[in-house]
Amino acid sequence: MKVLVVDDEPDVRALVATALGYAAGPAEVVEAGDGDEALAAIRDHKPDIVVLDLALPGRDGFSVLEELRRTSMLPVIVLTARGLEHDKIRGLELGADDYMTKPFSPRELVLRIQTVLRRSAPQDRRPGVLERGDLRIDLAARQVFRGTREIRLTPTEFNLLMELAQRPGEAVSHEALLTKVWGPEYRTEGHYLKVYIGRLRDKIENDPASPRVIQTVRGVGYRLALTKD
Amino acid sequence: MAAQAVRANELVRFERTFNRARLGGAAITFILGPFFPNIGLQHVVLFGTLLLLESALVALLLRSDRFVRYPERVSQAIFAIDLFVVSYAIFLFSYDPNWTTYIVGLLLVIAGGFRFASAGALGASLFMAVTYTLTALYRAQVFGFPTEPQRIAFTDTIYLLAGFLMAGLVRELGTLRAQREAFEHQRAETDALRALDKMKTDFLAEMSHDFRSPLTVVRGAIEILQSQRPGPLTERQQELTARADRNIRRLEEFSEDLLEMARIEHGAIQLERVDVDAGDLVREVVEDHRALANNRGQTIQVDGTPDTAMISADVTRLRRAVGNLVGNAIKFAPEHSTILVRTHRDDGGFSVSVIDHGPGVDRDERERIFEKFSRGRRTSGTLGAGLGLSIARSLAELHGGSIRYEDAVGGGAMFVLTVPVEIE
Repeated sequence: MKVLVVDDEPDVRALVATALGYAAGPAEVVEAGDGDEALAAIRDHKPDIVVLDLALPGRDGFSVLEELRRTSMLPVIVLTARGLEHDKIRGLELGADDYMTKPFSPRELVLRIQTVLRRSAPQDRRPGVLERGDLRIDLAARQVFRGTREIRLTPTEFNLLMELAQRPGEAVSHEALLTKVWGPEYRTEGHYLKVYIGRLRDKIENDPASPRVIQTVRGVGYRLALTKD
Repeated sequence: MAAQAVRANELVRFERTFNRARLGGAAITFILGPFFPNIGLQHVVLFGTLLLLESALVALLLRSDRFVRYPERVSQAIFAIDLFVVSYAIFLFSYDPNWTTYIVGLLLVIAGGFRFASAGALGASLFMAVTYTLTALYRAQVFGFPTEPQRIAFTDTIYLLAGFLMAGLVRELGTLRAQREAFEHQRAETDALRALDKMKTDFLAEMSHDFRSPLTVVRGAIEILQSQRPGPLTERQQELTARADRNIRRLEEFSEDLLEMARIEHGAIQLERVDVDAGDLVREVVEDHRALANNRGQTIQVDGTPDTAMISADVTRLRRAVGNLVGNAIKFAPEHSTILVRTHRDDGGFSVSVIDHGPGVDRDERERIFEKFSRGRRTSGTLGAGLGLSIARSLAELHGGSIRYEDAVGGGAMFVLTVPVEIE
């Protein structure tokens, strides 16, 4: 795996590189010290995943993430030093796959990198096509269409949609969604789910403010209102 | 300087009001005067004009530089003119057999009180009493009316009593004003202290934020060393890295506490509530702390009703609140003692009590220990910044709950955290 580590502190970059060096499996580490370098490195080195510090000099991490998400669904883990809900949620809303708060354990970061990569890897689950109105979800091809236009989803977004699509019309609990999509250790991290449901609705719903496809089941979870072929 | 400006403003306000009263007086004189046939029309015109002239003079004075420079002295002069004009009116109409104009003197007692407090009220009442007495004697002698000493005594007494009452009223108003000023002063001081306190918290939060990257590097390096991936460690090296690790975690906790405190003070915490079994949450917190307790030879016993209590809580935050209580018990209770964690559910909600056999908390310190950076005097010799309880209480309160202190049976401390349970 090729990991791009973006942090303005060389010691932090070196630490992550060292930890990845001792991790199972070969890992190549590319480093960047600021936002512009990061975007250039993504272009030139085509990493598999980006570890992105949000507090960067000049162009900050949020703006890098925004720029990146315009063209790419590359997995991103953001590092935040402030540990503020606001930062974490904004990071997730801008399309980060996960976040870690400094000071973090390098071992845990490596585990998260592996989890996110595993989550993003194409999984072949129950093939089929789900439709509602002009919305079409092709589970096998991992593609979502509105009419003939494809809606681009990040791997995590697609996994979440797929988890709901496994049981169309049924309420799926918060805990089940968090465990299946993110992992058992995320069981209680409700804000991941909240942010990602919001992102999915923004992309899929005609009117995200009054969602009809992804419905909230109060106190339980969410339900996908679709008909299966 | 400020007090002088306030006084000058006050006098301007008073003089404007009194000037309106003068115009009103002139109007009454011109309008009602002709209806009193005993009063000669020439006297009505004379007095009305006199009032108008005085009013014009005061209006000019109020606009003059002199008033800005010596407001007190100008106001005194105007008051003196008032006294003489009113005395003149009393004298002017005294030939009337139904003479009653002396009643106007009471208005001057009020005006004097407003302007110059007790001195003004009492001075005016004395002046009016003298005027009345002299005029009454004059009209008796010149126009042949009866002297009626009992009437003179009565009216003079009324003047003096009015002055006395006005002086009391003004004194009372002065006390109220002093109280208000003291209160405002105190509030300004509190605001300043609060701002200073916020500055301190912000500074510490900013600092601990800057700690985070260096902390990451040190903690990470120790973790990698301890994994022995870079190479095997001798027993002595393992001991040293373990010690470094323990202390880096303390530093981390402290910096996290400072940040959390700053977030609480800024109202920046938005709870991420999920439905969770409170009993499970407490048991998990206890499990997380078992190793720490074992290090001190302590045993943690969990005891509670077996039924579950579903609550809506921010799991990280509530764990932290309970964890701070358990952590404190471990820190302050003696080695090899037992710590009891008891959960309970009733109409008041779900509560968890952490009971230890430590030194307890002195009666006079029981509220203070919940303040930030505060530590009980019986805790000397133990480590900590004194933020744990303060944070725990704030987090419990954010959940709509509370934390209180109680004496444990047989000495020791008991902290009870309560959070509301959703109605099922």
